Amino acid sequence: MGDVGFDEFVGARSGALLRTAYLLTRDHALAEDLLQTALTKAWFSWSRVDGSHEAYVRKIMVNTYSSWWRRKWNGEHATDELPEQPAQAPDQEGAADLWTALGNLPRRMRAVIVLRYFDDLTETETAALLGISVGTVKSQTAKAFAKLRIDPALATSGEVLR
Amino acid sequence: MTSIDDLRASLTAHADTLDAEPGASRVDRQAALRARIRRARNQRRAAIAGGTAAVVLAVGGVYAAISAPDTRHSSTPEIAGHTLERALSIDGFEYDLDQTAQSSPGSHQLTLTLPASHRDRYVRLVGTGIGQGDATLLQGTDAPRTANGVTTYDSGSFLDRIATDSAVDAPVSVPADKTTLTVRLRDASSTAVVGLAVYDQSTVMPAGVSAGDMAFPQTVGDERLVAATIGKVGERSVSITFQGPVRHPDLESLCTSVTKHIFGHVTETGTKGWSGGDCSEPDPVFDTNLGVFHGEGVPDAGYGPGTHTLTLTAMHHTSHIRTDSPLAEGEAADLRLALGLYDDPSPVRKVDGMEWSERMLDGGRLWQLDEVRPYREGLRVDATEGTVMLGLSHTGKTSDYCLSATGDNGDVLTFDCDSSNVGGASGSWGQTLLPGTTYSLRTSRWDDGHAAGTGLGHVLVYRPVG
Repeated sequence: MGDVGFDEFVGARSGALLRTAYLLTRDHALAEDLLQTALTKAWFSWSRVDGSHEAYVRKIMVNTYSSWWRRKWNGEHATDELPEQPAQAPDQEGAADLWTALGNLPRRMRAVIVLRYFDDLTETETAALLGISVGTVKSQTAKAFAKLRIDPALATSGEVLR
Repeated sequence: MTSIDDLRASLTAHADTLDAEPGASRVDRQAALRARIRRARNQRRAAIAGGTAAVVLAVGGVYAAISAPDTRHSSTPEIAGHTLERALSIDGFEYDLDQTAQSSPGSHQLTLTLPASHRDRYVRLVGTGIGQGDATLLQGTDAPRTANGVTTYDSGSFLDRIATDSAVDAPVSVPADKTTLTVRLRDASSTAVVGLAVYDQSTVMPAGVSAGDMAFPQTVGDERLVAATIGKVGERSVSITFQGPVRHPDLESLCTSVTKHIFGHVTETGTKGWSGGDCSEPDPVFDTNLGVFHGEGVPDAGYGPGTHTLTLTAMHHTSHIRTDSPLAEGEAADLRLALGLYDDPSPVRKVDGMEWSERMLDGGRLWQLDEVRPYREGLRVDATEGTVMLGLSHTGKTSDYCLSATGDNGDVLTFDCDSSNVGGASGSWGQTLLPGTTYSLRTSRWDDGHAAGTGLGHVLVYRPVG
């Protein structure tokens, strides 16, 4: 087991991964839990990972998030939907509205948006990570934008995503 | 007006708010991960050893051959003045006596080193002439920390204790890694003798459904086997059909293959539910690729009346279970699949929104819920008459704490810190209090960053059955 490599990775990269986890879960505690869950899963396969460990952990994390509708782990009973808490809003009011609207997206769409526009993955990389086709990434992105355009959080302030 | 640039800026700005979270920099992620990994490894061991029903004993070419001596027909062993069984039945599986050790009279310590094993094992602590003292079974050779009359035992180091003059204690699980066990006597009489008896899992298959080297015992604790199937080598899916209702299902699925990136995918015909896991994850006990999915994905409400069919299918692991693709014929020729369903008839008690079994298996013992008490700092739990297992019910959305138990005899037991952030009812169990004293429970926060976190709601006190 590449234990030393794992520890070094956690020290070096978990902060960046936590940011992605936070954008997915919108909750610091849940993000930490999601990240640690993904890292724990990755630990068991650490020495056998082909290629990038970060991509591997990110893949586990995003898919754990997507499938986190029901989980029993050490006696935990997760609810079907993760609780959504308003985050500390950045300065811009429009950004806060956009953040609220993003929170209304279905989990899968939100993952696509976060991977594409925060992690700056290409459509191909996003598709590979989520295990879906590039066409599905495109359609999910388009649908996400369509939903954002009509989201009340943006509509009330006259915001239009384009 | 909102643009893609605004979207990126919003995402970045919100990600940056993490840096401003109180205590964000103080999260001891490494320590938390160590605890999680240790817990996951223990769960896997338990899953293989008997906490779950299915077991893989040996597969030619994959696992090391089992060649332990058969002691079933040897003479009855006598250890520390007690006659012991040559075989035990634990969690539905049989265990054979493998070796024993005994201290010299008046000695304060007994040490036994066990080599790494490919089989699950248990040890029984035996003692006589202990007097008013006690004999504590520890993992490792390090003496517990003692200062100012207080002796601190860390989680994972203490396994068992005899606090009566003479006893043969219940078997406790010991790791399959190379392990040194130490028995330390305290305030015991000069004639005190202690012993250890190590039992290894037998190659004898239990009653139930078995094929080759896999088995689902008919009963595991109070749980009863509803349906099970074990696939042939190379078979890419297996199914079980059963009649509901099954009120408290415990689903056990298992897959093994040396081929990488194979995912076990459990579905119920006619529903959208699923569960599964990676078949090619290395197993810490057998040092091979073994996926065990213990109870995941079952409906919280159980299975209703009528006919149900569950299928375990091996899939290529892409990145998301719903897009995994089935294996082609001839792929992963070594693949083994097994699927079993148990029903737990034990009554349950709802505490802080979570259903707790009133009888549960843990560490090879069957425990009965004795009392449920609201948690408060300094809560007293009486373990003078025997070992106690705690259930810890969380409250609120998040729960982060480190539990310690301070005995009236000066012992302090510390347990792994726990964290639960799933947003639903949750809890943990398995924290055992050594017998012979009464403890005061205390918690401390282990992560100041989780400002919204709450602590324990209730403490459930389980005592051994029998």
